[in-house]
Amino acid sequence: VTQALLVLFAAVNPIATATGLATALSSSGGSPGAARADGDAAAAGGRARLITLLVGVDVVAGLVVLLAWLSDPILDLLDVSPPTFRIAAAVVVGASGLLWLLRGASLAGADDPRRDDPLPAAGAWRGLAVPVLVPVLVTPAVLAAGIAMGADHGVGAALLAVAVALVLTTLLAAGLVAGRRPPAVAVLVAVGARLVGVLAIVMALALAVDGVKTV
Amino acid sequence: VHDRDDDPGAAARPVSVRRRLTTTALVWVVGFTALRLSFLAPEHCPTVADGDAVAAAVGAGEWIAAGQGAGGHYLYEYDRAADEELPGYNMVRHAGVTMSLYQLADADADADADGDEALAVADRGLEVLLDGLEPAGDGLVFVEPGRPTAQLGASALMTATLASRRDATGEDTYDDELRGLGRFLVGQMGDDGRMLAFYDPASEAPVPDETSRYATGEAGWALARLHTLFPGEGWDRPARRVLDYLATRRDRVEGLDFAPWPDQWAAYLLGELAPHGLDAAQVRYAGALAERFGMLLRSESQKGTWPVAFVDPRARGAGLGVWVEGAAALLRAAEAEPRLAALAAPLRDRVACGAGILVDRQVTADEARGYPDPDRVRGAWFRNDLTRMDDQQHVLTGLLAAAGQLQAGPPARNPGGLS
Repeated sequence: VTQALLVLFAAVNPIATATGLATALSSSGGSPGAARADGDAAAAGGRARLITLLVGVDVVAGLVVLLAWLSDPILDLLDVSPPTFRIAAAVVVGASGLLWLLRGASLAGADDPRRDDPLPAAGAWRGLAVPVLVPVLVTPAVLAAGIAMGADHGVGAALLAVAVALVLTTLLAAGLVAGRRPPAVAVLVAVGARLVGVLAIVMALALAVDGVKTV
Repeated sequence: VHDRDDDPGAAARPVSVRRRLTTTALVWVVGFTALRLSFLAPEHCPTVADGDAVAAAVGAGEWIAAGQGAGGHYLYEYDRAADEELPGYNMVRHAGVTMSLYQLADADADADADGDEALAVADRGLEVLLDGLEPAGDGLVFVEPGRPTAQLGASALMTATLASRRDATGEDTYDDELRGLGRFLVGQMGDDGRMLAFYDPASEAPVPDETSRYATGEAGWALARLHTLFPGEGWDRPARRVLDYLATRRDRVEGLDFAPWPDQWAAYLLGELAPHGLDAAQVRYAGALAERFGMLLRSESQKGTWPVAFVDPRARGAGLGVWVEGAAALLRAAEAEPRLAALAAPLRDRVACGAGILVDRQVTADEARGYPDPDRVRGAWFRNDLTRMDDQQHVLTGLLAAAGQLQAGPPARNPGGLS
């Protein structure tokens, strides 16, 4: 279970993902429409964004649990054994970790000047698929880790691990969406995302070694 | 969402949903394809029955028999595209091939002509070895004509060969030679279990400081075989000393990187001694070897879908055969040693997978017809159009070791109509 917790925490990278979600959902990101919004509209928009966030998190959690539950048939379909998939998952998680390490939270779009439009309140639902689920929440690393942990530790461990990671992600994202973001927060977020990226690389190495050393 | 195609100012605007989805999908597809062609390639393990493995082993034996010359030597290396025998010979491999034929005779003892033919061919090969036996102290050593020194590996595998002949025939004809060879092997051993790889008949002493990554395990296993044949004579003590050396020091002392070196002879030694008990270090070593052989067999099963246009990654018959041999020997250890019991099921899977691949890669009679000399192609394992006698030896032994771990019953497939 500890391995599942660490791998899925690293694969989700709550700090980077929360930053991406905050960027996607924020109404204070420079949208002209958002800047002109009045108080009631802003409150409604905040609720809509929160609901979008929660729905998105629930969807990805459900997806991970579903993949963990179906891990055996998926591996059968792919014609690979659990250790082989573990090595492949290590490559994916490790690559994500490397990107986070190099780019910090910007991977999820926080610092991307070409990022999607911040969602207007009334259009929050339209942003559920893109950019909330894709590319922020549903990533190759999360899906690969979900399948690998489901195959190795069972669906219960995968559920617990993804729940922990996503609850942290949700709290962080909600805080970033609701609150002001002084420069210190941006620095902490960037450093934190890189640190979790390092953890992802370490866990990927551990997964790869584990896969190689399994008979 | 912006339609950037119609808007000349779109370059400065955010990425469209469609473009974001397209880009993401492209990255996912490219990434998955790259993984599918490498780390996530399908594991292809053809299903074969015990009968298929034995039939393929018989085919290998027939290839060896067809290539045996009047003097008892075997066809060493052959290029099927050029229909050309390649020069060279190796007496350690000669001993190994002879041993594998006795194993085939033993496995086929109920049957008939296959077993008798294998025995006859092996006996002719054994004559070459017996002709080279010379006294060495109080023991016997095989000395290859024309070589200044005797190779430990040749004497070790000759010991194993004679032990296999005893298994196949039940005869004690060569028990004196077995014990004499055993005494020679013990004389090559240092206090720490390290084996010296060469013996100088002129000075009647081991050549100092020279070791071999192969011969130490071969010698240890040969001594363990003597213990099995002659329990109570004390052959287990030197065998265990060698095993201790292999398990705790060999890779470091002899500079073998990426420990443990995948030594199937050490696996044989573990399998032979496991019924009599292993210590903690030996159990750890067995586990580490199992991991190594398991990984090698698993990755070999994935190579069918690797981009062979750029690389030909498949192991030669001898390589894959050795891995099956090693995994099967460790399976025997796992079945005897409770601390290794958890390895039995995965090892059984890997052995079955390796055997399936070996049967699948054997050249069938139909495939052989496309070459200038089909008789020298049929039943063998080639890589880059080349095969060497130990390709057949290790595959034959590996398949016989796998038989009994596969689906019971007669052949489920026709591995080429080899007979």
